Amino acid sequence: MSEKRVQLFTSMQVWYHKHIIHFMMFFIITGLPLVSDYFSWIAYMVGIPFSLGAASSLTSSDVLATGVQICRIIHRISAVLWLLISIPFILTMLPKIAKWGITPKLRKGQGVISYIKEGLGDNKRIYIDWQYPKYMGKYSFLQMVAAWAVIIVCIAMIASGIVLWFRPSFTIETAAFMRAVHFIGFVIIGLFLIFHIYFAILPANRAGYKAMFGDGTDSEEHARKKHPGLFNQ
Amino acid sequence: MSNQAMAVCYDSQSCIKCYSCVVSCSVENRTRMQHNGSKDVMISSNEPLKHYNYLTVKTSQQGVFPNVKSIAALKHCFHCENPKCMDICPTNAITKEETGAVLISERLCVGCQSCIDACPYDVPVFSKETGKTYKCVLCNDRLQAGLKTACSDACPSVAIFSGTREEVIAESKKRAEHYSKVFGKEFIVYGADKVNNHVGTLAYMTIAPKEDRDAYLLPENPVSKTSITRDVMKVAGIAGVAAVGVGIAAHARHWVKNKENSPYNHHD
Repeated sequence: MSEKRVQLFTSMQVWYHKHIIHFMMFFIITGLPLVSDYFSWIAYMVGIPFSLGAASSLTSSDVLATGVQICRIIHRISAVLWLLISIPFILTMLPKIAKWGITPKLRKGQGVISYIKEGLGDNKRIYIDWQYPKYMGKYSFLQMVAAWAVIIVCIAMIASGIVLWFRPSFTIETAAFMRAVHFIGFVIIGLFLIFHIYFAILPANRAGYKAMFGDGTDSEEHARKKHPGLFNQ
Repeated sequence: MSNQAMAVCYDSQSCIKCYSCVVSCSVENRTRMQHNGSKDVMISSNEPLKHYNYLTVKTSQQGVFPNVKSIAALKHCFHCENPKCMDICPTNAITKEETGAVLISERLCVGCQSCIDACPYDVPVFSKETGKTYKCVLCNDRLQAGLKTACSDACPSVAIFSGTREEVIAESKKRAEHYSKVFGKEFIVYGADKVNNHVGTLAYMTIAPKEDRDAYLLPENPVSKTSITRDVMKVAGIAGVAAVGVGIAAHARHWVKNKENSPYNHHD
């Protein structure tokens, strides 16, 4: 007997999420050699194939410089492509911002503190007690906080990235500040991704994981247990 | 061997403001291009090539007539003992030579301009034409050949002098002491001793009145916010990854111990 399915993610969200994984991979791999010499080996690995056939007088420093330059180019191409694919995503999603599920929905007469307590209680229920939540809508409270943090950090990364790309058009102070913003943003995104991947593969989120990498749907029976707030609204 | 073996000093009080040093520096850099074959005589002589002007002067006049001070502050790389530009360069294009010179390899520079952000003295210059960054080379080739730097060689009043670090410091301190006695105010040899822990000592020093330190572009505590932010965030990043790793490991352990009672464990 076929079970009733509910749509958790739209096809646009599924498509964008898959692509963002590729872009994040490129951003991180090509950005790390610029961040720290701990990751120079990445630049060497990128530079070696491009240095093959070049003059035999090339030194390891030449290979490193080649690798870093190629990483910079790939980093920028990735940024442009990411921005390009973000345009249809933003145009499609922005009009439906209220339906994203990342905006707090307080019940009539409910205070903010009470809403936060409920949200954190649900998070504890899911990830500490391993039980179904009582109030959670599409996303848990901490997921909503993380989502907004990521949106803000991504905007900061885009703005700072553009300044760093076209830095001769900006003052040295602005460029230096934006470099710091880009670096701090990278650390935040990096830590977020580790958390995100870990929580995505937890059994509590198995249905969401399958939906995101499948057709975006979940069984209604499970969705009603995991997202009671979604059905109470 | 010390990495500050040689030194140059600019004596602001002996300077007659002829700017021969600036011309000599530019000429030397253009001649270098001819020596290494990177540019022919025509280009090296006629093109503006502003990025090869490693030494520039910021002049100002302070006070009210008749008590006016004319200040000629030289803007150049100070060749720090701990070059922050070198630390941040992702291609290892910047090196600290035994003479004390901090050099940018034009061949290895990819033009990321990280060094510009990292320099607490705001020295390196980016050339849009070449896509690379440039700064004073302390005439490393000349020093190695036993010659004076181009700026000191041209100076008619010996206001710029170069030599071994010991010689230059001895002469600088002698002059600073003399000026202090004659003018009745304190003179410093900026860079002879450690400026701060961030940059250390300098290979290009300056003798100037302590009260005019800022006018001579000699900050008391030069720091690069970019370098500090980068160092802090590197530590924060490593600590963050470690903390997240420990947290995840503890949480995963908690899951394994309790998964039998969880409804999620039975959901497909």
